[in-house]
Amino acid sequence: MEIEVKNEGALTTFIITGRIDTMTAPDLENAISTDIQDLTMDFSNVNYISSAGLRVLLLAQKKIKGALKIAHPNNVVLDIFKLTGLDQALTIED
Amino acid sequence: MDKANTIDEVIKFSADKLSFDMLDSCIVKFNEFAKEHEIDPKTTSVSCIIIDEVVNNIISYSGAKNFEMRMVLEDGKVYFIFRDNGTKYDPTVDAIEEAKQHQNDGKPGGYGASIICTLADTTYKYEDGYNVLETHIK
Repeated sequence: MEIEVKNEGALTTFIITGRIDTMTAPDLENAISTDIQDLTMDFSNVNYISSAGLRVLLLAQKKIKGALKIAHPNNVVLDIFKLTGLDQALTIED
Repeated sequence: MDKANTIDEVIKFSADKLSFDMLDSCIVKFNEFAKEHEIDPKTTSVSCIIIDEVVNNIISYSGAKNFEMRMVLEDGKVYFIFRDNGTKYDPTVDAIEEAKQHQNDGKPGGYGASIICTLADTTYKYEDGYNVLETHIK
């Protein structure tokens, strides 16, 4: 997994490429700082996410100061959000 | 079963303490299997999620010393048989409990068994000291 970070005013954007699973979720968790105001994670190039990644997203919501948004998840990722009920807990942008 | 339409590969590990290198090896091995047999991207991704959830549970909680993952492609469908000699654990039962728990609490973590049983038709048995989990990707 690779994370490209862009900062624009109060908004931080993570452009994530690859898989978010047991092996890579700690890297994503480490990239999320308490200094971040609003965070958008661009999932356009994320292949899939496992429960280890879901845990990091929920922690991110609590860790950052502002709002977390997940942008452009593919159908596999969207299905995981729906079946775990996280489509209701997270802000997801198609 | 028509063996002519069945492709079957097994990967085995033995150690005093199974490590997360094993999980990485399973993912790499399955991706090679998927590429070689032209398994579609969605099935490949769903399969990797299943492998991650199952193998992570075994490494983290089972105390198993022996583990094997059998990958089968049969008439275009993928399924896995996971065997480990760790603590007896039936994720198909646990998934029901997790689903109940997460209906209200929204706490992080603990989605693994629910994900396995939702993405795949899953059967469990305990046989000769081994947990045997068979998961057919939907």
